[in-house]
Amino acid sequence: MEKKSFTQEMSWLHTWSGLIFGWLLVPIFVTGAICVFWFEISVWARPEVHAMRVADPADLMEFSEAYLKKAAPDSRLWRITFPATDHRDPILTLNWLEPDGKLAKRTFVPDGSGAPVVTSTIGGRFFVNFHYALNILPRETNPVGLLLVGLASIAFLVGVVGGVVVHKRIFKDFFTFRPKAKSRQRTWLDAHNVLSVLPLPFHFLIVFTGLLFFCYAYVPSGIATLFQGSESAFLTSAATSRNSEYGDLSRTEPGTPATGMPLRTLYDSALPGLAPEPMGYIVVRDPGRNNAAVEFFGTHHHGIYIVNTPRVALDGSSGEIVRVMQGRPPVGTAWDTAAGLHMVFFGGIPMRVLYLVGGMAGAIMMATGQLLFTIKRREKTVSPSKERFFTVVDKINVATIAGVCFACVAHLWAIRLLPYGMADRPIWEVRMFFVAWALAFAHAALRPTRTAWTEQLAATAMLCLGLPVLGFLVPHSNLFEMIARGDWKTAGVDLSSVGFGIVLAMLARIVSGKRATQSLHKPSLIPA
Amino acid sequence: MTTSETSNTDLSNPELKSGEPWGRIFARVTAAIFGGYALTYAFGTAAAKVLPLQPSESVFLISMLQILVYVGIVIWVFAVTGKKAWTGLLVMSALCMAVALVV
Repeated sequence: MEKKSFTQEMSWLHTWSGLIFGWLLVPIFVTGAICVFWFEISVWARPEVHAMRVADPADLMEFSEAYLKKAAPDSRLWRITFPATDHRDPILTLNWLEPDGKLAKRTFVPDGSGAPVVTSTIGGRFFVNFHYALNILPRETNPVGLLLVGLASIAFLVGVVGGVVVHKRIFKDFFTFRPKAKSRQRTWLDAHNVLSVLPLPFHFLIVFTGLLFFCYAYVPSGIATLFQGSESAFLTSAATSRNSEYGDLSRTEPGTPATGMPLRTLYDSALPGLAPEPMGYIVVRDPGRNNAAVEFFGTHHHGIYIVNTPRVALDGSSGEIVRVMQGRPPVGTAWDTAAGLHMVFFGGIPMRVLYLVGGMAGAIMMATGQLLFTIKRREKTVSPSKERFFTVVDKINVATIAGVCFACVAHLWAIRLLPYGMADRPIWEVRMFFVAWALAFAHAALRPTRTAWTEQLAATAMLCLGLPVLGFLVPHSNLFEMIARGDWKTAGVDLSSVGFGIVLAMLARIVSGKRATQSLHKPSLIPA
Repeated sequence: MTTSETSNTDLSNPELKSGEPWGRIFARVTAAIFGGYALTYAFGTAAAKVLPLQPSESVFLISMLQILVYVGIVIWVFAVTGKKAWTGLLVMSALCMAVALVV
């Protein structure tokens, strides 16, 4: 074999790993971009919490304490998660540890009335589960999904480095866009380059921080050496509180029954230690015993930190402050910052919109690369066997680019349309995603390539445009009423869907080639 | 490589490689994915022994470095010829394991 230059090796790697892993990465980027708004989608999916008043934390605390005392007086652990102060997650969640070690869960609307949240739905959570583990969960028992996404992310980073090497004239390329170019290939190549170079730092950041999120699980050499392979021992140690400082619950005995101080009183003494954050949740260990320990945690709903939120622990019987923690050691803090940059809980709606746009740009960038693969090679074509291969590539491209968008909206339709009383409703919501995606694959296999593109884009556009209409069938979800109430975060889900629908409809029209009649000598962007 | 007026960038040249035997490609991809994983793991084990941090801090630091190490290894495997790649992976892994055992 003749030795090839580094540039040639990198370009080969960029092309092939881009093609193969792109089929995974485009769906990951699409769902990842959507799940920037997963809390908003979760609210949108639960009509009973739309635009609901959030009661004062002190009142919610009284209600929660009374409820838990009645429901789980002998439990060894309670957890009370408060509705987020910016109404992003307007749900009061009560958990307690059952004698068999399982965590019980009840959810309530946030107005203090004690009415339960009744809609059984996965909300926006599926998009999260898919983009980090292809919904193959739990990762502790089956890490295949996590590892595949990890490998694809490594391939992405390699592709970025390789892509930069390939583009020696990266700066000049950035200012080169020739939509009226004679060659279809050149138009797509320019689009690919512009979409790659401008958001490159963002894409590198989002994939790298995404990898950091479960970095200890992909190559668990550190945990194997320092924690005898126990991930939970590592996580406990990393959180530096909870179990370690009050003793592991499995190893200590509960104390004797005692009255203890009400949470509300403890909250008043804890509040200054939480500043500048408002309270996010409370963990009570051995409630109603003389060794009760109550820890208040700051919210992670608007700062950059996910784990490093301030926390104040008090003795449940005397009310004395046992410990105040702000942050963690430097590397743990660095990790938390990376995780926070990925989760984008900071910066409010404008920042999240930027992330959404950045993520979508990444998906489009990779999609243009996928298209280039066959367009570039077809123009020189070639043998029948290669032609067959290109056809298969084209069909997979249709299903992994247009098809996955179709499946995402179909999933949202399922969330709106499945009967509310249905058993296993969340499972069926997820199944509808995969059913729709399988349909997209079958459709792409059966139809000619360009027709498949047009039809799938048009179908997705129609589902997107129709999504707000479904709100009229469901209580509290009428788009006009939501706007009149000023509930823009929930209405935003419907409005964004309409926005995407318009863009997709335009795309479908361009791809269909109807526009090409206006300039006959210009080739259509998608080969017939 | 000369850049002509029409070629914007020299993206992949598949025809160059299409004559290449699949066996060689397979060997190289295997070296990158599995050989690279093994070396990354060995690197992490050695680093876990060497780093003077508290255990949880060590694990975070190692795990973050491992991602960059893995990316670097994959690029390196494709940049050198097949034989060199396997030799390099083996030597480096052995070195890391030696460090891990000695320290």
